[in-house]
Amino acid sequence: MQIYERYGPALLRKAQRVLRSRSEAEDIVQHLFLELLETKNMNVDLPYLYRSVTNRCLSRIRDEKNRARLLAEDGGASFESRRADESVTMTQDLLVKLVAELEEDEGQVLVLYFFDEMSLEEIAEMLGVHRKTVAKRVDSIRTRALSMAGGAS
Amino acid sequence: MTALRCIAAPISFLALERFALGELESSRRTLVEQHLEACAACRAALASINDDARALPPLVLESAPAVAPSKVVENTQQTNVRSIDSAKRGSKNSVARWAGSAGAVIALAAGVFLFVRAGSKGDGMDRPSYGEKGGSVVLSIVDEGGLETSTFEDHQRVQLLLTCPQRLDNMTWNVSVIEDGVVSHPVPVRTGVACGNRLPFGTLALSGGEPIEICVSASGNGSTEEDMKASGEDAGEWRSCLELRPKP
Ligand SMILES: [Zn+2]
Repeated sequence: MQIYERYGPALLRKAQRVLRSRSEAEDIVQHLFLELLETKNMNVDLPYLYRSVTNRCLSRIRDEKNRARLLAEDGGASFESRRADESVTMTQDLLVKLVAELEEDEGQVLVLYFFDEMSLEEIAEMLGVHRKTVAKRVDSIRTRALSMAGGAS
Repeated sequence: MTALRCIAAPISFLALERFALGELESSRRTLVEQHLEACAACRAALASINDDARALPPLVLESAPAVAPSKVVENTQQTNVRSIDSAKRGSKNSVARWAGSAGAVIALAAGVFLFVRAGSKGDGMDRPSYGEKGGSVVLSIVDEGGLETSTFEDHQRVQLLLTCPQRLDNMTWNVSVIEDGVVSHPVPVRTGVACGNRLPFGTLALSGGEPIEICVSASGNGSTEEDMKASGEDAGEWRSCLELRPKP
């Protein structure tokens, strides 16, 4: 399947960036493509698939069994942000706690902004919302993250 | 690993992936190239993409599409298509959530009926034997080597094969997975199925240490389970369940 070969590696990297598990990432990406095959939905681009994988990663993190695994195995591991001015250090612990508290659309912003390092404009375009809305969500996530990280240690 | 910081706003991983695939339009591409020239952090991010030599895992493809494309509403897919991994839940909260999404599936996929066998273990109901029987619906589960199996290992992938008689052509088919009394629908609903022997019906990744019951059921032409009973048909002939146990 051409789109699997073309986009599969990028999606595996994305899912693994968030979940820190190659096997979880493979599972998510394989399921996604099997479903695309079954629905004969081949007319998709990478941004669409990115969004799909984002939602699937969030579902995994919300799942209790995975939540326990993420916390137990790799809780302190942190994502190395390229943003020079980012005050939040996104660890697995923090990700799991945030996702448990956030609404679905905030969870998407969390992944797209903090892990995929997308700009507010890119996220706004992908989610079909205003840039200002994305900016507000990022601010609110950052505030929560900082208070959680402060309270935890 | 020392964290490299971007000189300005980082080029997102999505943009870098598209850059690597040659998908960016020329003006954006030029901007990315200029940034990369100046920014070691984003160059390193791009290198991590280009240097990623891990093989893509094989996609277990279903061969000849004996089955018509399914008409799954996008919304249905969001709610009902999940892996078994994510269907495995323990708390009451999550059970309620799953019951909710199962409800949505029924509402959207008209005519699909759902059945939950309380405590899927040892409830004394007859189960269809493995293999094919004339005239009724039979679900078979095979491993990646194509061998029938009734056990699974953690994270094992299995394929579902459906055998159904011609009189059930063009029905709507639904796969339910029952685990600890919680139902999930990891495979999209299929419509317009031309019946036959051992039609590939979907692939599942199984995980966890609890037995899992997988059922395939037909409905269609506006008929419900009640209609079938009224017309003297045995609804049991329209479905088949198998229990899979974790390998000890
Ligand atoms: Zn940069």
